[in-house]
Amino acid sequence: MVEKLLELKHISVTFKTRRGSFKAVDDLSLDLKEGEILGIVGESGAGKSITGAAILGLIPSPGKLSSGTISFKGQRIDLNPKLMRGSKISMIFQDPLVSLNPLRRIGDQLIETIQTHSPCSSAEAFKRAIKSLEEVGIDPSRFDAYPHTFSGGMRQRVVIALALAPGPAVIVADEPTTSLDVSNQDQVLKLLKKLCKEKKTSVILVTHDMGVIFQTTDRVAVLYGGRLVEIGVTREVLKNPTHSYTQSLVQSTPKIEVGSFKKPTDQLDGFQPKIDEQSKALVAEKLTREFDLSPAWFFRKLSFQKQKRVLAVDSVSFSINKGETYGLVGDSGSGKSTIAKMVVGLLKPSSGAITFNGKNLNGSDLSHRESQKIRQRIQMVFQSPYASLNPRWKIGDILLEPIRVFGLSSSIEDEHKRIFELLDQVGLSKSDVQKYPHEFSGGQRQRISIARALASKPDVIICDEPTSALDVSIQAQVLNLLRELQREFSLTYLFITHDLAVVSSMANNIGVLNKGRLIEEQSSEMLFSKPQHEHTKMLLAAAPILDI
Amino acid sequence: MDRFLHSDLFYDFVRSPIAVISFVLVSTLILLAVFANFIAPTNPFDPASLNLMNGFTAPLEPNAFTGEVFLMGTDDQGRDLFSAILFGLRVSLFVGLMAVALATGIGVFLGLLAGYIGGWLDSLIMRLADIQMTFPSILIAMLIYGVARGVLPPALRDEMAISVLILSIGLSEWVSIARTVRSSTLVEKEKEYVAAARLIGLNHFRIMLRHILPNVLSPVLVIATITLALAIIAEATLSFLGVGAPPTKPSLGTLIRVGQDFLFSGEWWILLFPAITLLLLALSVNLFGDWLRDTLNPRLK
Repeated sequence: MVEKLLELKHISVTFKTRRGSFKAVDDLSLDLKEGEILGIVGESGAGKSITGAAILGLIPSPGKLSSGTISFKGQRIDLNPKLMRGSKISMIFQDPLVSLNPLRRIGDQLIETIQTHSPCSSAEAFKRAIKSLEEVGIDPSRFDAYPHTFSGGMRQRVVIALALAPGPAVIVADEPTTSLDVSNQDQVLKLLKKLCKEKKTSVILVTHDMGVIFQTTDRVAVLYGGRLVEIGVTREVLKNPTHSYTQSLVQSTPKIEVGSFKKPTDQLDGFQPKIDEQSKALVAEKLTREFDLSPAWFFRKLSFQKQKRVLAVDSVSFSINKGETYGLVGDSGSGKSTIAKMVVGLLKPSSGAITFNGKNLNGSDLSHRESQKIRQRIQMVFQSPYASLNPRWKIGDILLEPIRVFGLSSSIEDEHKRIFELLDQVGLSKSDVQKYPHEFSGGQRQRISIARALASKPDVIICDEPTSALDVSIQAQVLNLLRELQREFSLTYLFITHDLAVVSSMANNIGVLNKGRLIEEQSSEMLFSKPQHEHTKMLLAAAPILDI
Repeated sequence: MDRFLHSDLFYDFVRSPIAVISFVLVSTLILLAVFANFIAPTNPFDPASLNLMNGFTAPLEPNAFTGEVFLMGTDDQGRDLFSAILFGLRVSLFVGLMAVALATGIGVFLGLLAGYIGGWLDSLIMRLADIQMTFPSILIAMLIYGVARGVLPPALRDEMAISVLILSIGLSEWVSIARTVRSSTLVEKEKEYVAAARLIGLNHFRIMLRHILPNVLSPVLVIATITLALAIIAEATLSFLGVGAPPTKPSLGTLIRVGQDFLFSGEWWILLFPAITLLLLALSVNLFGDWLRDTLNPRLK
């Protein structure tokens, strides 16, 4: 039997608050063998990050390890975590933007880490720092560079180099790739895996992403509500989950399932709204948007600078048929959200045109009345469930506003009826009208956001990453809701996401964006089976897909 | 009310001795000022009630001529200091509150405009604020006071003294509020609920007023409280320098100025009691404001 490197025995972490104490981790036992990668997976609030923090003795206040022991090579470390922290057990944090000191050169940060944990001469430390940079694939000539000159993926490599520099036996990685694009995520995870195998370092990988777990870890522990639900070899657990929670987690994880969406035409003919191939709901032609990055007006005039411009969207054309879903996929910075804002009229295109039901939205011939009419029929569901609802407004008022503004109800009773109807359509109860947004969970807030979009009886809804902030099980529910609503009201969706698996199950046609350009446009089936463009192929290969 | 009693704010309040003490002190002083005419034994603003024979009576000692006893003694005019302090407190608080209201109004309005509309208007408003920041606010207040007095006909000067005081302090304190509101507005206007409001075609005015304004008010509450202490001190300073409340309607600052003349001739009480009152008022308002800031900003905890 392989020796247990790290052992957590019956640990509980309790947070004492004024509303009573709350157990974030409840009687959890885990062990980590030498050289293995153990995944800890769970949804938000499962206690996975706290477990990682507990190992390093970094539980945020007012939390405390209330019972249980943590031992490293048979020695208890929960009493004095500083003993091992950094030297034998180190950590990789989620956000590489804040885990590096922005004011210090990366080389100096490496040397400092090395010298803190193993006293050696500066020359020796310098050598080792250079070597560790080479290991993570960063050109040693960047030794004297500052963190802000690196991209997110490169920064996370530097963080890995920092974590590995003292030669730790265990690395706790808390969502190390969540803030990265898929292509970077893939590279960073592969690098982490390779280095840890080489150095026989064990890793505890904390993540919410089943795809990452599947592709990276040897064993997986599934957490729910602070308790260990299931633990075992990754493939087996994910293939044959024994616990019902793991089963539902695996089920709700979106997979690339070509044609898994029900085309309305698959249903009984004559009953369901059909994809109307003839009439286009929304057409974008050579849409281009430039941004002005120069300093504020006053300072620009003062310093006689010219305007600095950047092209965010570069002549993108696409068209969406009525009743269809069009997916736009791309990395961060590819211009997806800019396109969404131009379609709904929050941004004016620098050039190009958007046509809705045959009417040019950017034409100067539109009266205020006409443009208001069009606004009513193109609505949007936003990404963040926290920022998209005004925190000072009750749900009833949030839903009432569009109804009032567009004059959709004649009387107060009518308005109330409509609000109740909307809440019912998105699966919320009537009593919710009196509540404030903070009383709802992320998924429920997203439902409210959808209800607000529906309030004006739109034809087209732009969904800008509507589920990227949600847990997988909630994501599955929201996606289902969107599909149901599409069928019920024959809605047209422009679905914007970075997640290939999500878009594969939603869209009829997909456009792939890269650096502001539309590089490929295909039907969903064709894109996933025969991608044409190199970048699309790379994206598909890099996506962490649960593929069992 | 029930919601308030269960809120985090109330929970923190009850558990902070400084907050409770300063709040009780501020409320007591406000109540004393509001009900001054019921509490005060004499009306210090009424020259007819003054008896010159009572001048310079020490606290709690019977006057040599009239035999009257005064809690805090009298000043050179024979005015009961306790009554004068109560009424002076009223003037000081009134000027302070009104000046803060004026500063908050201007600051919130300009800050919202600068933050929401941006561009050259933002540059204009904020550079104006920057320029004003380069002068001490008491200097600005004296400047405005001087100009306003110059414009007013002499007959109105004493009558309008309080209004001019409010105007000059209010105009000198709006900058910090405008800056805070502007920065909060810059954050709020990028949030998606504002985009959602624009999507349904609301005009910018309504978005500013109905959506953004309620969300930028909590830092304003904190700054307004701290500005209140500043305004009270500014009023006292102006009155002490002789450009504030007239001696016929003395504020705490005026009383301190009067007392200062007699400090070295043995009549210490004329200076001491108004000064202590001013100290308690400014200190407790400041402490309460500090506590409010710490509580509403979880990052400082």
